[in-house]
Amino acid sequence: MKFSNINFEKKIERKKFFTTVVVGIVTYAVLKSFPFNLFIKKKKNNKIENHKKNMIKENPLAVSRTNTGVNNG
Amino acid sequence: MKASFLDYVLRYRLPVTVFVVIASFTITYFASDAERDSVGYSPDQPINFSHRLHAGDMQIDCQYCHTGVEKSRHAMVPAVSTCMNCHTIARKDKPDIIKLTKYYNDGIALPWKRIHRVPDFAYFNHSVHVNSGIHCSSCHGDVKQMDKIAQMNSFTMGACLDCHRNAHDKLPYLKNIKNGPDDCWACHR
Amino acid sequence: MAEAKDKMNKEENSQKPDVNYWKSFADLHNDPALIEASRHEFNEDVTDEFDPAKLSKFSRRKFLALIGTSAALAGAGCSDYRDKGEIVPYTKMPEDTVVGKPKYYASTFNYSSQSHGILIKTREGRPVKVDGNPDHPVNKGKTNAIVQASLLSLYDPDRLQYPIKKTNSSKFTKSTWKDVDSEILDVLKSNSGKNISIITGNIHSPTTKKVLDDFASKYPGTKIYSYELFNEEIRNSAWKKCYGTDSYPLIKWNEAKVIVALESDFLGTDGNKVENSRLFAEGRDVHNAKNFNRLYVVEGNMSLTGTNADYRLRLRPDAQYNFVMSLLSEVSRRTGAGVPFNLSSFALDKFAKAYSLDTKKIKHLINDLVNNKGKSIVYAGRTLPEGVHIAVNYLNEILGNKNLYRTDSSAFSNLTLSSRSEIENLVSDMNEDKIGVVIHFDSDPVFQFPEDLGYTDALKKVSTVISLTESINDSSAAGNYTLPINHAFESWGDAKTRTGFYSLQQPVIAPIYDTREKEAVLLNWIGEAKSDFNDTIYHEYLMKNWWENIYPSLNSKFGFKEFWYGALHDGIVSVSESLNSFGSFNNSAFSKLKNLRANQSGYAVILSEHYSIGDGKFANNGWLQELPHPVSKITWDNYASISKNTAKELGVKNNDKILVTVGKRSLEIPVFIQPGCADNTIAIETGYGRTVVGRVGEGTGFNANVLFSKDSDWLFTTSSVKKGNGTYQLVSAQEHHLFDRSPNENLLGEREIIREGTVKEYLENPHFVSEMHEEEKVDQIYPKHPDWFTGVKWGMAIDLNKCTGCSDCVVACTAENNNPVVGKDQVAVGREMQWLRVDAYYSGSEDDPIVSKQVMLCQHCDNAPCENVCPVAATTHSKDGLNQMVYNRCVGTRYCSNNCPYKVRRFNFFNFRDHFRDGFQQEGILDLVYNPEVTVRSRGVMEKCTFCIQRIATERENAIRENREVIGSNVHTACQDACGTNAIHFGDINNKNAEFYKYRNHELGYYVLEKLNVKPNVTYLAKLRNTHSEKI
Repeated sequence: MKFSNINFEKKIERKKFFTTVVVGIVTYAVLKSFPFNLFIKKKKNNKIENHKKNMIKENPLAVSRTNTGVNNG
Repeated sequence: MKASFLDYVLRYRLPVTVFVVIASFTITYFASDAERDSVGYSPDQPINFSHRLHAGDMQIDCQYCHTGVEKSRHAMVPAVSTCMNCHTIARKDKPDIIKLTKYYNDGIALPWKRIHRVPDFAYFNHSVHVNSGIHCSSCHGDVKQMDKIAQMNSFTMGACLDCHRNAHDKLPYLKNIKNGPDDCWACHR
Repeated sequence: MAEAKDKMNKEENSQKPDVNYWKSFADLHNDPALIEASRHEFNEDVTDEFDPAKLSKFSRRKFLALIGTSAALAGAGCSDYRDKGEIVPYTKMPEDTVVGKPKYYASTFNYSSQSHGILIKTREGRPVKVDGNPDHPVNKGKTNAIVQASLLSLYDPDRLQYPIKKTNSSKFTKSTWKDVDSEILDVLKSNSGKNISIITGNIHSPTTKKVLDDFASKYPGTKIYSYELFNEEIRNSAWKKCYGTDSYPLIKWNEAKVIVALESDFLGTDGNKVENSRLFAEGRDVHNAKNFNRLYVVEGNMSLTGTNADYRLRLRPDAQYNFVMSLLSEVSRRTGAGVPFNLSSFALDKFAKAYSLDTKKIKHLINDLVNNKGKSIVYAGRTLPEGVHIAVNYLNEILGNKNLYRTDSSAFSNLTLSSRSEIENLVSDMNEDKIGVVIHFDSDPVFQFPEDLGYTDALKKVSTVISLTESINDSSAAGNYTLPINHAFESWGDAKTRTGFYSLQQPVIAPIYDTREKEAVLLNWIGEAKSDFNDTIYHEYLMKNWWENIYPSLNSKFGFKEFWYGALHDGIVSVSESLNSFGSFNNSAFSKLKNLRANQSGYAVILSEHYSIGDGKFANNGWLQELPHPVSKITWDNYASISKNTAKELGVKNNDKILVTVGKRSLEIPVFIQPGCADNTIAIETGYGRTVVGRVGEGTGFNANVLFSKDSDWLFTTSSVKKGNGTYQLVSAQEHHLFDRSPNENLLGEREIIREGTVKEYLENPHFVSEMHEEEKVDQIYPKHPDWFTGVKWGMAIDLNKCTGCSDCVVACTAENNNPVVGKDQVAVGREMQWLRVDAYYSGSEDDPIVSKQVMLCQHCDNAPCENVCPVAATTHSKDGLNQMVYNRCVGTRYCSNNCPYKVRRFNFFNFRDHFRDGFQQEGILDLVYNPEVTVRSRGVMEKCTFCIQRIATERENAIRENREVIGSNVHTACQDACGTNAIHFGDINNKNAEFYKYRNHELGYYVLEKLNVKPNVTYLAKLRNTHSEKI
C-alpha cells in the first residue's frame, strides 16, 4: 500500500463499517417486528406419553386431615 | 514521528473506540431489556382466553379462578374443571370452547404459556401480598383490559425491592402499609 | 575498554564462517549468489504466484465477517429467549387441594414387631415427610429414625417395578401380572397332596391374618410360619412360666424411680423406643429435679441406654444370671423376703470381686432397690436366656414392683410366632418333597434363618418358590417368582399390636410402579383371578372385615360409612378391652432354677439388632446407612465392639479383622474398640452383609447371621475369637468436626462445651452452671445493633437431660431439608452433609467412661464469625435472629466454615447426587422425595441448619393471613418434631409468656464456647446425673 492511497482505502473501510452497522440495525428492526417463529414447526405433544409421565396419582378413597395436633387440634 | 502518532490516536482511534464501547453498551442494554425484565412479553396461548371478556366485561373476580392466591404461595392457574363450571353450557359451539372441552374430556393437561415467572431460587409468596391488601393489578397490571395476557411490570429483584423499600409510595391506596422485609431469607431460602 | 574491544573483535571474527562447518561447496567458498539468496525469506519462485489481484474475492476476513453475521442472525431468529415454559393446571382438580398447601394423612407403618401410627405430609399428591400421629396412644406424635427414613424407601430406584420370573437359564426376566397369576394359579390348583407354606414376618394386621386364613381354607394344606430375627419369645415364655399369661407386660417407665437395665437397650432397640424414651424422659424433668429417676445399666457393650446411665457397670452378658441371683440373695437378706431355695452360693460381694465391679455402685444399687420397693423396675434384655428372665421376674416380685406393670394395655399378637421345632419340621418337609409351593410373604428367611437349619438347600427342592417383596433380597433370588408389592404408603390396612385400639393404614399415593398390595395378590389367587384385577379388592375386603367383625362391637353412634371415614381421618379406633390380669408368681418356676449355673469361658459373643438397619430390611436406605450409629458413630458398616483390654489380648487395633468362631460357624469381622465395652465381650449387630441388595446397600458390612444356629439364641458362650486376616476400613464420624483446642481452652484445659452436674449439686446450688462461666470473653469488634431483635427473635433450647442421643433428629432433618447421601468414601473424609449431629464426649476412666451427648447444629450466632468474612455477603443476619445462608450468592470460598467455631457448616464439595453410586440420586423417581419448600443445593455452595426457615415462613404467611403477630410456639422445627422425648424446644425468645421461655432462661442453661462471645442462640440445659454425690 502506498501512502497516497491511505485516505481512499480508509474511506472504503469506513463505508463498509457503516454499511454493516446500518444493515445490522435494519435487520434487527425487521426481525423484531415480524414474527418469524411462525415458520418454525412446533413439536406436537404426544398425548399418550404425557399421560404416562404423570405417575403421581392420589387415591381418592383416602381421607386427609388439615389439623396436625392432638385431638385434631 | 511521535507527534503524528499521538495525533492519529486522538483523532481516529479514541473517538472510534469510545463510540464502539458506548454503542455496544447501549444496544445491549436496550436489547436485553426485555430479557432482563420481560416487560411486554405476551406469547400466544393454546386457547385464546381473553381476560378482558371474563374479568373485565363479565366482572368475574380474579379469585374465582385463581383460588390459591389468598391461601398459599402459588396463585394457581385454574383447573380445566373450573372453566367447565360455565363452559359445559356457555358458548359450547365456539371452536376454542370445543378445544377446551376436548382437554377436559380426554384428561389431557392444558399447557398454558407461562408469563409471570420468578426464578426457582426465589420463593415468592402470593398470600402474604394479597392478605396485606395489595391488589392484583399493582404487579400484574390492568389485566381486565388485556385480550391477551402480557407482563406489564418488571419482575427483577430490583423491582421487588423497590416496592418493599418504598411501599407507602408505591401503593398509595393502602394507608397503613409497612415496608416489606428486605433480608435475604424473606424470599431466598 | 581494551578488553571490551578485544571481545568485540573476537565476536566479529567468530561470525566468519567456521571453515570446519559448511553446507555445500558454494557455502565453503562464500559464493555471493548463495549469500544473497540467504538474505531472502523465500526463494524467488515461491512468491511468484502471490498476486493479490488473482486471489479469490473471498478473503479470510470476509469469511469471518460472514460467519459472524450469520451467527448473529441465526441467534436473533431463534425461539424467544423470554420463553418461560409452560404452566399446567389440573384438569380435574381434587376438591380439597390447594397447590402449595400440604395435606396430611393418618396411617400406619409396620416393621418387625412394631406398629407406628404416623401422619404423612403430602404435597401435590406425593408424600414428602413422615411424622408421628399425635392421636396414636403409643406414638403420641413421635416416630423413630426407621419410620422417618421409610419415605426414601418409597422412592427407591431399586424397587421392583414389575413381576419377574426365573426362566430355565436361572436368570430373572420381566413378566406381567397376567402371566404370573395364571402360572401360579395352575400350580396352586394342581398342587395335589403337597403343602403350601407361607413364610412371613410378624403379622400386625388382623385383616391380613384373615386373608391368610381364607387362603388356607381355599387351598388346604397351607400352613403359615411367622418368625422375626429378634423377638420377645424368651421374655414371654419366661413370663408365662412365672405368671401364666401370654406376654410380658408393658412397663410404666414414667413411674419408676429406679430402673435397672440388664443388657437391655430399652431406649434403643429393645422394645418400642418411641414409647420407652418418652416415658423415661418424664422422669428427667428439669422443672421437677427432686423427682428424677435413676438409671442403672449393667451391660456388656456400650448401648444407647448405657450412655444415659447414672450408674453403669460393665458385665459380660453370660454372667448376668449369676449377677441377678446374687442381687436376689442380697435383696432377700436385706428385706427378709423368703426365697424358695438357699441363695448363699450367690453372694454379691464375692460376685462383685470376681468381676471387678465397683462395690460402691453395687451398694447404691441394692440400697435403691430396697428403699424404693414398688417404685422400681429391674428389666432384662430380650437376648438374655430364660433363666435370667425368671430370676428377674422373681426379683421384681419380691420388691413389689408389680405396680409398674401396665394393666391398661398390653402387647397383642395376631399370630403367634412359629416355634423352632415347627420351622425345623418345615425344613425337613421341604427336604422330603412334601412342600409344593413356598411363598415368602414380605420376608427374607434365606438371609435370616440360621445356616445349619438348611433352609436354603431345602428351598432348592421346592418346585415353586414365590417371593412377595418390595425389592429383591436373598430369598427372592433363590426363588422362581418375585412379585413386587406396594410400599406401606401405597397400601390399605389395619394394625393391632396393642390391646385397646386399632390403627388404620391408608395409601397416600397410587402405586408408582406396577405393584400390588401383598394381601391383594393373595385375594386374587383366592378368587382364582376370575375377574380383572382391580386395585381396590383389598380395600373392599378390609372394609368388609370391619363392617362384619369389628364395627358391630364398637357400638358406634355413626353409620358405618361415616364411622369409616372418621376412622381413616383419625388413624386410630379405640376399643374397650379388658386385660387378663396376671395372678401371683408361680414359685415353682423359680425353684426349677435351683441347679442352674451360667457357664462362662472364653469370650461372650452377643448379637443384637442394628439401630437403624434393623434386621436387614432397610439396608438399601441411604439415610439409614449414613446415620452415624448413636454410640460408635460408625456409618455404612457393622463391626465387632470389643474393649481395649480384649483388643490388646487379641493383638488387634481398630479396623483389624477378628475371626469369631462358634461351633462350626465362623465370621470374620473388623473390630471397633468401644470405650465402655466389657472385657471378653464381643458385640455384633446384624442386618448387614446381604448379598442381594440394591445399589446403596451393596458391599456394606458383614453378615453376622452366619453365627446363628437353630439351637441357639443371640448369646454365645462357647466361642473362640482370634485375630483374623487383613483390615477393613470402618468409617466413624466420632472424630469429625472437632472443636479447636485453643483459644477455647482456659488455663485448666477446660473448654466450655459440656457442662454437667448431679441432681444433688443442682438441688443444693441451683446456679452452679452459671458459676462455671468464664467471666472473660473475647472482645467484640463490631458494634451492636440496638434496634434489632425487638420483635420475634428465634432461638432454640436443647435439654440435655431429656436427650438420649438417639439421632432420630438427624434423619428427620435430612428428610425435611433435601440433604444428599454422600457415601462411605466421602464420610471417611468428613464430608457428610447432615446439618445436625450428635456429638458424644467421653469422660472419666478409660475403661469405664461416662458418655455425654450433645446435639450440635448451627447456633445462629448474633455475632456470627461466619457472616463477617463472606466476600459476597452470601450469609447475613436477619432482624429476627436467623443467620441466613443464601445459596445463589455463594461462590464457595469456604471462609465462613473456616471461621465457624462449632464446625456446623457443610460444603457441597460435589453435587453428591451425581457423585454417589454413579448418579443413583439423580434417578427420576428420587426427584419426588424432595421437600418443594427447600432448595436442592448443587456443587460449590455452603449450607447449614436454617432453623427450618420454610416452617418459619409458613408461620409468617399464616400470621399475615390471620392478621395477627407471628407466634413462636407455632413453629416446630423438623428436629423438634422428631425428638421423641421433646428435648428440643424452639420459639421466640422475646415472648415471656411462652413455655419456651422457661427453657431458654433456665438456671441450667449455658451456651457452648460462650467465651468466644459469638452470642449463639441455642441454649443447652446442662445434664444432671442422678448420682448420690455432688460430683459426677
